[in-house]
Amino acid sequence: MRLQSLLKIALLGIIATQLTTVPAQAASQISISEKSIQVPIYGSAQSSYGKSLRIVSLANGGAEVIVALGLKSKLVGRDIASTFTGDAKIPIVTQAHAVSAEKVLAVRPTLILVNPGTGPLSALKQIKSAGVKIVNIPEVYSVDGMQAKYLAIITALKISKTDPVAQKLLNSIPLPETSTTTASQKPTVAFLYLRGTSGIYLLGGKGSGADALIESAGGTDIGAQTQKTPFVPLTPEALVAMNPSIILLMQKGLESVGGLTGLLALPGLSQTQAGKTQKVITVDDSLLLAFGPRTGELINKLSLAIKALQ
Amino acid sequence: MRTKHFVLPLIVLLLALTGSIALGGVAGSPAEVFTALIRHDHSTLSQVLWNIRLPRVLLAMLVGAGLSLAGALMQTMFRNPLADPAILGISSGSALGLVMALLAGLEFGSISASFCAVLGGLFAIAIISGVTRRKGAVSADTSTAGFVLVGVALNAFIAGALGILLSATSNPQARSISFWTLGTISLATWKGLTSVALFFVAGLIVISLVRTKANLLALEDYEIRILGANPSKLRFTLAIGSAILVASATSIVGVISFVGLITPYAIRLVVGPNVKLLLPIAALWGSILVLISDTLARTLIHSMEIPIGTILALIGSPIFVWVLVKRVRA
Repeated sequence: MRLQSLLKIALLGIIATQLTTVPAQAASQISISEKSIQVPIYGSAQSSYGKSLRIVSLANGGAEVIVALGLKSKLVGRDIASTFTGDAKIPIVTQAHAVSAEKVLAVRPTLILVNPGTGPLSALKQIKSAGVKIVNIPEVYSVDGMQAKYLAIITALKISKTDPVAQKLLNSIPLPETSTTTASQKPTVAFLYLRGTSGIYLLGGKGSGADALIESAGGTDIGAQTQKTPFVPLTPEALVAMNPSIILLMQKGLESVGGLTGLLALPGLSQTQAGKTQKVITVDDSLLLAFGPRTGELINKLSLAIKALQ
Repeated sequence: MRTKHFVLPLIVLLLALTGSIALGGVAGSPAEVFTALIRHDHSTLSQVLWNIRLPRVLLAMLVGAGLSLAGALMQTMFRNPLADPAILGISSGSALGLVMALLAGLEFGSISASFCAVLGGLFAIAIISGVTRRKGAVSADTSTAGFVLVGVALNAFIAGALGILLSATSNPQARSISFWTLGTISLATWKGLTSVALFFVAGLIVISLVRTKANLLALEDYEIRILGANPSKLRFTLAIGSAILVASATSIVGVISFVGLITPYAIRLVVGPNVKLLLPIAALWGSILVLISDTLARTLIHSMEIPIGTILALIGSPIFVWVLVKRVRA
C-alpha cells in the first residue's frame, strides 16, 4: 500500500512539472543560399599547360577558384563539398568525402589539386602511380589565408602571376573589417555544427572558419572567444552560459535536426537569447567555409543579415 | 540488517544529487543555486536548473536504477553474472525497435515509440533464451563465455541492421550512430523523463507480480515446479519486466553499457542473492553510478560533452574482463 501511494505521488509530481512552453515570438531566420551568389568570372587566364590541361580539384574551395580564373572548361572533376551554381556538368569524384581513385582516373586528369588532409592516402598513391601530377594547396579557413591559397593554385596551374585575370582574382580578396563599432556593441553569434539530433552540438570555436567570417561581417564570434580549438562538443549548459544573440548554421545542419522546430527542441537552445527570439542565419554548406571567390559577397550578405537581426 | 544496506547508498545518493545539481556549465555558488532552485524565475541559472539540469539529473538516476534492476533480474533469470542488458544485446534490440518505430513515423520520446523499443528488447531476450536453452532449463549449463558469445553475435547482427537503417535514412529523428552506441543523457527533457518514468513504474509493477517467487530461479526447473511455481511463466514475466526497464531507458538515452553488469554483480557480493534485498539496493547503486558518470560527462572537461558510454566503458570493461577471467578459470 505504502509503495503504491508513493508511486502515485511521484507520478502526479512528474505530470505536474510537464513541459515549459516556449513563448510564441516573431521568427526571424535569414538564409543565404548558394543560388544567390554566383562565382564571379574574371576573364580567361592563360595557362602554359595549354590545351592538354585537365584538372580535378579536391582542395577546399579550389574548384570555384578555377572557375573564377575562366578555366571551367578545364575542370573535369571535383570533390563532393565543391558545389556552386553551374557545377552540374562537372563530375564528383569522391565517395562521400573520401577520394575514389577509380572515379578520379576515369575523368583522365593531368593535374589534381589536394589539401594536406585529403585522403585516403592509398587512393592518392594509386593516382600518383598512374602518372598524374598531384599538387598540395594550403587548406585555408580565414580571409587572411586566401592570398596564399590563390597563389598556390595559380602556380599549380602554371599561370603567370602578372596575368591580368590572376591579378583581378587576387585583388578580389575581401579587406579586413574596418568598422569602428566597439566589441560590446556587436551582436554575438555562435556557429553550431549540427549533424542529426544526437544531443551534442559541435561549437565552431576558434579556427573553424566561421569565426573569420563572423568577425569580417561585423559580429562577435562568441564561440571563438570561449573555445580555443574548433569543433568542440558542447554541453547544453555551456551554450546557455555563452548566450549568443544569433545562431549561425549550415543549411544541411538545420535540416538534419528537422528545421527550426527541431533546432529549438535541442536542450539548452531555447534558453539562449537567439533561441528566445528565434534569430537564426543559415548558409549553404559548401558556400560557408569555401574561402574562395564567393566569400567576399558572402561576407556582405552575412553582414546585412547580422544587422537585420540586431 | 536490512536497513544497514540502505543507509549508505541513500547518503551517497543524496551527496551525489546535491553535487550534480550544484555543478554545471552555468556556475553559481551553492547559495545561488539554492535560491535559483527555490525562486524558479527567469534568471539564467534558474532557467538552466529547471529546464536542463534537473531533468537531466533525474533522468540519469532513473536510467541507472532501471538498467541496474534489469541487470540484476537477468543475472537471476539466466543464473549468470555476465548477463547485462547491453552485453547480451537487449539494449541494441530496444534501439533497433525504436529506430524502426521512428522511421515508421512515430515521435522520439513518445510512449508508442518506447513501446516498440520494448518489443525490440523482448525480441532480443527471446533469441538469447532460445539459443541458450537446453532441455527446458535456461543457460544453467551453458558456459559463461558461450553465453557472452551469443550476446556478441546478437549485438553484431543488430549493429549491422541499425547501420543499414541509419545510413539509408535521412530522418533526423533516427539520431546518429554514436548516440546508439555510446549513449548520452544530454537530451533530457521533462517530457522524456515522464515517458521513462511511466515505463519504469510499469516495469516495477510487472516485476512486483513475481517478486516473492523470483528467488526460486536459483533452483532447477523441476524443483521450482515441486514448490508450486511455473518456471517458464516466472522467467517470462521477469523478461517482460526487464525489457520494459531497458527499453524505456534506451529510448531516450541510447545504449548505455556496463551499468547493468557491474552494479548488480558487486551488490550481490555484498548483500547476497536474495532478490528482495538485491533489487532495491542494486537500483540505488545503479542510480548513483549513472548520476556520477553523467555529472563527470558534462563537467570533466569544461563545457565539453563527453559521451557517458565512454566513461562507463572505462570503469566497466576492466571489471567485466576480471569477472570473465575468474569465471572461465573456475
